[in-house]
Amino acid sequence: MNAPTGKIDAFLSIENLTVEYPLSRKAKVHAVTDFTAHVRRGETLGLVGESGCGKSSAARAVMQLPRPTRGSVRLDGKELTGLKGRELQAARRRFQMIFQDPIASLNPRQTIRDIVAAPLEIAGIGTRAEHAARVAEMLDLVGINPDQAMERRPHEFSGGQCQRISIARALILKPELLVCDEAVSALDVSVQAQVLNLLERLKGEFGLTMLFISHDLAVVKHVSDRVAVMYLGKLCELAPAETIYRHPVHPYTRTLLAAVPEPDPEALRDRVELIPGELPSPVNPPSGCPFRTRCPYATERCAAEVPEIREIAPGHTIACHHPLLN
Amino acid sequence: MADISHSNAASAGAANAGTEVQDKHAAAIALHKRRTRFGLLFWIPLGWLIIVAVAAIGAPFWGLPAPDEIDWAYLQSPPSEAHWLGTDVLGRDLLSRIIWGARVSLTVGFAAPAIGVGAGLILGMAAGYYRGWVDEVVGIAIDSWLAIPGLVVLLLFAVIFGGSLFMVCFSLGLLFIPTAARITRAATLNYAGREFVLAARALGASDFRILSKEVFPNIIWPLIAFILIDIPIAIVIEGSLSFLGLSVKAPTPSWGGIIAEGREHLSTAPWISLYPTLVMFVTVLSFNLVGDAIRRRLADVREGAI
Amino acid sequence: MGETILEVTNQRTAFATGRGLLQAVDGVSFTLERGKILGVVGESGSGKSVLSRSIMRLLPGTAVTGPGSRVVLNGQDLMQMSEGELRRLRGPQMAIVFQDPMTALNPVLTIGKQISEVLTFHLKMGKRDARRKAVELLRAVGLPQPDVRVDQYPHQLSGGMRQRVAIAIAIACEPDLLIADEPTTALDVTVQAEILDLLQRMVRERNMAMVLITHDMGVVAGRCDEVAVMYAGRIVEKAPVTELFRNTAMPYTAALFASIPRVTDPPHRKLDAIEGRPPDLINPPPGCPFAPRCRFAEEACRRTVPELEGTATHQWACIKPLNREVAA
Repeated sequence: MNAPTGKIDAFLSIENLTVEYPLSRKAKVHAVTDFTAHVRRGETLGLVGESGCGKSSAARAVMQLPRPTRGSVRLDGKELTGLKGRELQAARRRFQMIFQDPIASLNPRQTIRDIVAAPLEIAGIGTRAEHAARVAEMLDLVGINPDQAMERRPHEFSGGQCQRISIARALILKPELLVCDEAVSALDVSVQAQVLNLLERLKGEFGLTMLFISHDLAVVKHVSDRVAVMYLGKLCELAPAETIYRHPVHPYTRTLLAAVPEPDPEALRDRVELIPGELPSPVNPPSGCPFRTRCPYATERCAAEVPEIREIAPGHTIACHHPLLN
Repeated sequence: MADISHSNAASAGAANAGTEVQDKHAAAIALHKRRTRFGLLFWIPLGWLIIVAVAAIGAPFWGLPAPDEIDWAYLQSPPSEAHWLGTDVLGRDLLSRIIWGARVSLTVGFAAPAIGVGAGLILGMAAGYYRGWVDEVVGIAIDSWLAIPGLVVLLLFAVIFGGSLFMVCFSLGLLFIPTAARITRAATLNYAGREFVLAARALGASDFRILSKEVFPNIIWPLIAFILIDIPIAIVIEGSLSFLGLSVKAPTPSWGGIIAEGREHLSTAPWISLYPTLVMFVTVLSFNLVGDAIRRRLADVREGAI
Repeated sequence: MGETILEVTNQRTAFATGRGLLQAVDGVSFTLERGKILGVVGESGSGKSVLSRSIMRLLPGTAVTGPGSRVVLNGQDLMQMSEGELRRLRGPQMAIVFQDPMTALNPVLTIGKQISEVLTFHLKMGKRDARRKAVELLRAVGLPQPDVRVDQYPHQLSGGMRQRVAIAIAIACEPDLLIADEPTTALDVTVQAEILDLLQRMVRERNMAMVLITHDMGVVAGRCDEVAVMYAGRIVEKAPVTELFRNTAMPYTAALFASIPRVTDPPHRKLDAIEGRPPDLINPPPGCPFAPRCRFAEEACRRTVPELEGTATHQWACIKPLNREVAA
């Protein structure tokens, strides 16, 4: 299954990533199946899909939290899935993560100083005084006044501020890859915009490569160079951000885009009418194409044959038997 | 600065908000404060506990007769100048015996819950954090342990190992393990899935660091509340055991033991049983009152922090 | 047409907290006519959800309603009513759909039972009739296989289906007023579109009035007749939906629009974020609550709280509205 995803000089290579959770002795949840994507250094890959599509599982598998059931994750050529113990701990400095819930991401019993200094302490770098200086520097960088914040605890801060503190903690070791799992989804629009701008700025300053996971298509488009759309654990479509929004080819991508409520009362809403029904269970995914049970264009072939991932234009790959190429 | 802006806002046309609203609000805050403030029902019992603790710790230094010293001139005598609380049938000073007995009661009161919570903490954290087979093994062990009646355990220990203070603490401590382990496991489960724990794992933190630095500080409050409930329970159980002669051996005085000794002389020398009973009652009640007040405060702290 | 269903006048709702009085809703007034949808948009802490509960009179015990607050539904003053009288109104005259359909439904009762309960209590229907009506309602809200689903429990349904059930319960007694409090926030986008379509259709078909509360400008854009923007417990701008989007007056509304990422934008465009954070409602700043974050604010803005003013259809609470000549 060597998908023609355009063998680019990838900094992060995710190949045939598969994540399964045992449910009982016989059944298992197929959270992610054969997901392949490559991210160049300094690039942001957006990962979108609805709840249960496996985007968060994929993100955690990249982080080795826990390691994937199968498949390969290579960072700068180094395979992460095989690393153990100290090697993995040492490698972790190079890839960090930001989570959805800004408040739950910070230990309520620790001061901001201890929270942000934790990575240095775990890595055994520097003295306590040096930590304080680094923490102050990082807090300053994310727009938190260190003099006021250092000795306080998370509950004294708003959601947006907590997310800034999370970012400071994630970046204090100067990682090269930052995985953002719904990092701005819990924030209000005005605060969300602040954090998105901050992430964009820090991406430049730190030379970060990013994997940006969100259910919000507008947010993903905003930060991503390329976007991957997932459905029921599988990749549907992967293309440059502008392409995927202007010329979506997979019926699911088109459905998803049409459903975005645009803040414009006169926006045209051309909807792809879905077959009524529910998201199939990831315990028992449909045969063939996972989207066929709701796809208005589905044929017998979609049930019989898993659509291979193929390139329809340079850098634009899809998994569909009946792409909407008008 | 807060005050200035508030008064400004109040004067800015919104004055019709009315005093009624302010009154209701003031009443609500007052009620809240009354509920959590440390009042007389906290300070008086705490004072008593401090007196008992100081008396017990400094027992050898108060110039009292030794608890086993027999005063032939005062056999079974009521309270007097020489013996403030009187003497028992053997002419031993009751005050001295009660103070020395307090050492046993307080030791058991603190040591037994400490042993139980210490062991329960380790088991519960392991079960809640690692889940899987560790959780199953701990769960089965706790369930089997709970299937054995506590009294049987205590009697067995007393019979097999005799009445040493250490064995009393140990056997009583064993009985506190299951509940402590369950509380710890539930609290650990609650926090082990939080994103800050995940964040620590993403940083490569060891399990020990995660459990001690991330999880432990969050689960300590329910455990402290649990200990506060267990202290008076342990004291009462120890009292009952020594009343039955199953706690510390004869020459060492303990509250339950003194009460038992005075039992046969209730009609002629009621003070022998009366005073230790009173002391024990007041002490246990004090622990309960102080514990309740602290637990209400803790609940407040927890709500405020999360 | 033009029949007034709901009239809210100077609604003020506060909560007693350990730190002081939190003024969650601070003098909100509006009227709503039959067949119309009013969108109430605001960020968290703007008071929009407290407003919905104030209208339904579903406030917790720590809430304090300011004197002079009036909520009139179909000509009846809800402030003067006892809890028993209110209970008889909730259902036949007003109903609410909450954000989280899982917590709004009783997990141990079948959905059929939960719908029929409302029908037997309010409409005094017999058991068999109530069940038949329940199936009918489930069909009306687009639940597939309604005669099977009627005997299922909430946990057997997906989030979207549960929200359909919650809507079925809300409309069971044909209320005149439906309040939808973030009805699609917990749902995926494709499901969100379906649920919003359904709500809109129900209002039109049954000629109800609806208050649609949301944080999402995109949700109100396509669904509402009129929109009220809330900030720090007040309505700061109110206008017909197109007017609000095309001819924004209040700087906060404009700033909110500018901070929304749009699918039509090119990637990596810098967003015009609103700096700072919403004011502390226990110790609010003097003057306009948005002044500390407003790029147009001047001295006068920090002195007095601006009243809602403007034309008959479009009002704003700002002394320096955008794109408008202000009479001196």
